Amino acid sequence: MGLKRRDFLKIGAVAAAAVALGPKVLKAMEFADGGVTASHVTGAPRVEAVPYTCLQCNVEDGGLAFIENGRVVKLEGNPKHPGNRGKLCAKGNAGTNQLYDPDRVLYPMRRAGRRGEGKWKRITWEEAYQELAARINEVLDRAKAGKGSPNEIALHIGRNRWFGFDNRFMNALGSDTRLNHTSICESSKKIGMQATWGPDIETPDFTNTKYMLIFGGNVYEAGYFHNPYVQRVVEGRVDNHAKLVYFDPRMSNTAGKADEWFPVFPGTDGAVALAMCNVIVSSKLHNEAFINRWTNYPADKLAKYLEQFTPEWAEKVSSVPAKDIKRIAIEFALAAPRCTTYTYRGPAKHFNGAYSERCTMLLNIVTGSIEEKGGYCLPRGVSFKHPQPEPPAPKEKSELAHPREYPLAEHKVSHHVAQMIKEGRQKISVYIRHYYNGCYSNPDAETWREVYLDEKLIPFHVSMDTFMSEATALSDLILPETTYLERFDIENMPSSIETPWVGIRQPVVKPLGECKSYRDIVLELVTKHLDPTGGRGVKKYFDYGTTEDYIKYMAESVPGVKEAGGWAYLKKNGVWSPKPVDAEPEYGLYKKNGFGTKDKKINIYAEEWARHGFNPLPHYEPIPAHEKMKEDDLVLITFKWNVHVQSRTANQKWLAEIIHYNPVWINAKVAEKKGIKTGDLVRITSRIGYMVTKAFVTEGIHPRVVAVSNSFGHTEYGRLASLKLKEKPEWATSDDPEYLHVFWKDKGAHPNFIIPVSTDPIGGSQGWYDTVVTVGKAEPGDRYQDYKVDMEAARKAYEETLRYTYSGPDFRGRAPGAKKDGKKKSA
Amino acid sequence: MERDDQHYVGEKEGAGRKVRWGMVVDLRRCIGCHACSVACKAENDVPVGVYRAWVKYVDKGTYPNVTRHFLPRLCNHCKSPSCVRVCPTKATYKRGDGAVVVDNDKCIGCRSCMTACPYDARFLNAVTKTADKCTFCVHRIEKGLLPACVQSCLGRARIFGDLNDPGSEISLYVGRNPVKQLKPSTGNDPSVFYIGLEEYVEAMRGGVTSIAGTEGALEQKGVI
Amino acid sequence: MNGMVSYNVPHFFGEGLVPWGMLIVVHFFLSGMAAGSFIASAAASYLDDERYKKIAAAGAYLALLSIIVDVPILILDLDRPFRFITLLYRGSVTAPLTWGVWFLIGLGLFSLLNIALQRGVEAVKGSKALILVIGSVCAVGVSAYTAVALNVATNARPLWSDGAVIPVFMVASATTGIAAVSLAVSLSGGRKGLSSLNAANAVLLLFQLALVAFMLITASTSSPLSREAAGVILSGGLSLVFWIGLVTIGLVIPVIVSWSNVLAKGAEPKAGTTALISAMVLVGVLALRYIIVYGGQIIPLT
Repeated sequence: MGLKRRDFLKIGAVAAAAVALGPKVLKAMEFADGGVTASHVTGAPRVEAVPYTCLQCNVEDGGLAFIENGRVVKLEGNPKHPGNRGKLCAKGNAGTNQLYDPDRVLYPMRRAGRRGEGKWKRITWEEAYQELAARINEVLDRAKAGKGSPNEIALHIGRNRWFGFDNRFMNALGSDTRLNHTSICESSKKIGMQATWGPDIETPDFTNTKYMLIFGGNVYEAGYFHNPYVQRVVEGRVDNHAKLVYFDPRMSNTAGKADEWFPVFPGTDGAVALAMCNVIVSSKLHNEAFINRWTNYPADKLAKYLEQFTPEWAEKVSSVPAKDIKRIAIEFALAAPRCTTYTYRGPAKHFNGAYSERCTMLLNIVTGSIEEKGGYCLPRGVSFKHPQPEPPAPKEKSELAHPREYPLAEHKVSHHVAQMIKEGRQKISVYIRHYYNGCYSNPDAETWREVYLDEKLIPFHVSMDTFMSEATALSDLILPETTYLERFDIENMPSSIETPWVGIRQPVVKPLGECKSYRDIVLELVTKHLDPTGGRGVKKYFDYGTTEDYIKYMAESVPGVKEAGGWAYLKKNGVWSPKPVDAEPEYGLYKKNGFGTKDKKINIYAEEWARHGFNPLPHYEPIPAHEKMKEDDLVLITFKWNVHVQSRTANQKWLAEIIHYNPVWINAKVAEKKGIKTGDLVRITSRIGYMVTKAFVTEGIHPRVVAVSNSFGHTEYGRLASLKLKEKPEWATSDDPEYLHVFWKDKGAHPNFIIPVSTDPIGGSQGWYDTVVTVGKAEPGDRYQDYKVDMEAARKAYEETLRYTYSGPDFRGRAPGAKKDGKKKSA
Repeated sequence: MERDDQHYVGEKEGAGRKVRWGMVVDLRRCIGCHACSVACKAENDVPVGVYRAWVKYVDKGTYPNVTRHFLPRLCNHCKSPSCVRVCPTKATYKRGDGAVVVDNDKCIGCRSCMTACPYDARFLNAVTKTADKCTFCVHRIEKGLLPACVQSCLGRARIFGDLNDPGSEISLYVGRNPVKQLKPSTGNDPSVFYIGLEEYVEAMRGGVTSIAGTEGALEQKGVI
Repeated sequence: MNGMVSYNVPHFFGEGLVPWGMLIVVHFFLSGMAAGSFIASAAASYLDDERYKKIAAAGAYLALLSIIVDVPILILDLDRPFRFITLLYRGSVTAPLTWGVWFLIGLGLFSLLNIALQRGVEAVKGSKALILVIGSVCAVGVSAYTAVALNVATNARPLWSDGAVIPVFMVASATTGIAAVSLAVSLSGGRKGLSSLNAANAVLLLFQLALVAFMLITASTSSPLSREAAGVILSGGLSLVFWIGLVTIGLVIPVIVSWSNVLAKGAEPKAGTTALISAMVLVGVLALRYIIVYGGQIIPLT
């Protein structure tokens, strides 16, 4: 080709000058935007680049790891990735901090002292496997003899990227006790969405929209899918002049940069959304044809139902002015179909979370912006097949995995597990934990600590962990796991509206020390130690070859992957997508096969909810704890700093140096009344205990709300996170000379100990933002980071939340006309 | 990918035309995410505690009418750099392509340049014991790659290129949008331009970054 | 309420961690002392070799002594001290530090010659005028360097960028020199010529007082940044050093005492009082250098 790239670009640029500058042009600067890099020391190009998929959070962005002399020297975004399109966020950029953390656990270890004492003995993998296999086989043998159940073996996974491999393992053992973390994540949002249109997630077409109405989805800092979405939000706002209206009690970065920010009272997003729907429908701005054709509830009936939700009522509930509700509703509807909502944990993490999600979804349904250009679209994903044979589901249901009080909570209620074990609901003999910091990440974290410490309740606690987390410190056997840069995985997050994709994770460097990936650990455990002969009937499900073979099988099961070059293509490129990165999105996906519900329609009326006595229509349910609030009470909410996740990044120096502490945000007027100034020690008291932390006085928070980030306050997780820089752990094999430059002296105070359990009776999700507290100046003798929990009160809070379940005495979800369930006592 | 590498080798002048590297930061597109801060750390092995690229935050207004503003910062690579003027050993110099860089072998660590920079863009590298700052990633641009911060910018808020080339992306961007420099009164004439700087400056009114302000209060009380 | 910050990357230096710290303050102070002492010596030598013999000699020795202490401090302050030598051959002419180092070396050499002169060494007697004039030029250069290093260094730092810093530091160098010489003379038991030194400092200290006031008034009424810096000095973190160290100890008391001496028109002032007042002036100038060096850096720039 005679033309050089540069010349070509010049012509392109001149042509572009005549028309408006679009985002596509911006990507064509005169330089290569990713894919290659050079050494800052020698200037030489870095030639070895291994693609991978990020896992600093769960967005699954594509990356390239540049390697020099067997060491990862730089991480960059993978330009071929349709989600993040070559960009990594701050966390992604800091991934090497995770890989080369000097306090990683690199060898199998067995507890040497009392549980939690911090004494460890290094053992071989052989010893570790044998011990674990013996423990598991003991249960299986006992179960076979009728003196126990395979369910005594529990697998508790936090950030679960096992993609069905957990089912294979546990089903092969015959245990149903697979526990997860989704109930402390966003599960009620999923439940609300699944009941409405099938999939558990939406894909707003931010690039092409004219109006973004975001409820508690801090897309500028976090959430599904922060990096891919915020790129498109900025394109939509700056290049397409879209308006962003944001609802959040705290001024996040999204709020601070929004066109309009409304500090809504926690848990009342649903009321605002319903009032807006009412305004839209009563102003005849709704899409009647769409509602009547594609939903299971007629427009006229819906209009009648919505009449009760007046903006004035919503103002009283939510503290959002009625005139703004009316105005925003009209603006939103006038932008239809190029208008979309987006939500994340804000509306969902409440007692009424599943309801709220359905209310905000309704805004898109009434305006008919579903699957329209610039509208509210379905996720674009692909699915995988697994190597055969696959074990059948266990016969016996696990009470811990499927608590009977929550029939609709299909993403489980795992934050109840500690209390349930404590009350003896199910016996646990072997507790295997992966990527899950139970006594740190859960509400009522102190109860988790208590249970983890109790050898009667958890006789054998195995950790597959990369770091000495708070939970790992309370285990009996540690199996050192790899970071995301050292193992095989497969991913398919619907983070791009333009095209679905298949991404892989592969070891970009050899695993450090004796670390093994969880997939290899399970494979070796089963085939070499647990069932080497196949006599137990477990081994046959692990006859797929190596872990790489397994992932390869899954990847190549996606139509189109084999044709593109299969596994070799994926290893080279990291990601495959049926359409190119900058493809024009397709819309109207439902028109062919309908929605993912039983009747293929959007279910404004959720039949199954009605069967359990819940209100089947989008409904606002007041939060019991908030109804009883006294004048001086405040609501405690938590949040993520933009350069951190909840519990797995405080050990990363490049992130910790940006922000490493978490003072409590308090409204300036309220603080003034209480005589609190920024930096003052304050005591936050909830129904289950108190904590002492520092105050940050700001104008950026609702006067009835205080906020504490949950990213900090580690007591373990290595020297940096716990800020014990001089206390080198005995298992640490290296030092980071950079720790000499650590200038900060504050590691923050963790709020989860004083947050009681408060569970959505439908979605089974923890109401993180329901906590009622009082805040005052610290009392004499209070020291920073002090906390105290009344275990009895914590227990009572758990028992109280059960009273609101569909079978409990205080059940209150029932709508007029909803069908009665036999098991339910009263409404 | 075919690229005319020779053209971009920093100190040379391509096709009889002198290049002047510059950057536009479009504050409308900045989301305050710090991808730039960390990408720069990783790219240039910048020690903990100091930054070549960073993002400042400031909030403005009274509840509930509050807004937040970000200001991504880096060395301005001034046309008339005061740091170069005061460097006693010519360790800090301006390259032919406009990038201001530090020669680690010549720097004596007198920190004159740090006091002279009107933008606090410089720091003392505790590892090399020399003055340090953003280099515009000259090692990358010489290879035809974008600076690491630009490459990583989620909002595509940073536009980098040759200010002397009227057809370059950055020139088109500057031509189409009102741009402002930081502290133009210093006469340093930065090569880094901002779009939407007024809002940030407005929010700064009241002396936000003063030690008497919030940040200082936090610092003094040990909050940060 | 503008200016709330949820968090900010700690990229600025802040209190206690500024590019130029205590060693530079001492360096400036000693440089000023060297320059002032030499000029005091030269003036004394020029005006009345006999009457001011002790003053001229004290000044000569003090100048050399200051430089001998001063230069290592400057080198010590470098983060790459072993590269100091490159300053001598690679020196950039636009950099104040280059000029400062050359002037310091020149002043050191001419102080040595001045000592020889004061000791009556025959070989240099004939070049008295040359030694005193060139030495004084170096002294003025050193003195100016301390100010210009700040003033030329930046066009954006509060206090430094205001022109007032140049006369403030020049006068400060002179008062340092005179006070140091007074102290040396009075401690050695001599009183001859002290009244002249007292009179000179009485005038200079008034100047200094006026200039400091002028500098701070200018700062308080100019840019927000300067206003902030002035605030830090008058009522903030530097106020204690300012009001007690500089104003009370270094200016007001010495001014009152020295002027009462001048107005008394008596004989030479008492050695004890002179020693005390001179020491106070030195403390005051040290405080002044500290306040200006730190005050210019304590406010982050952007």
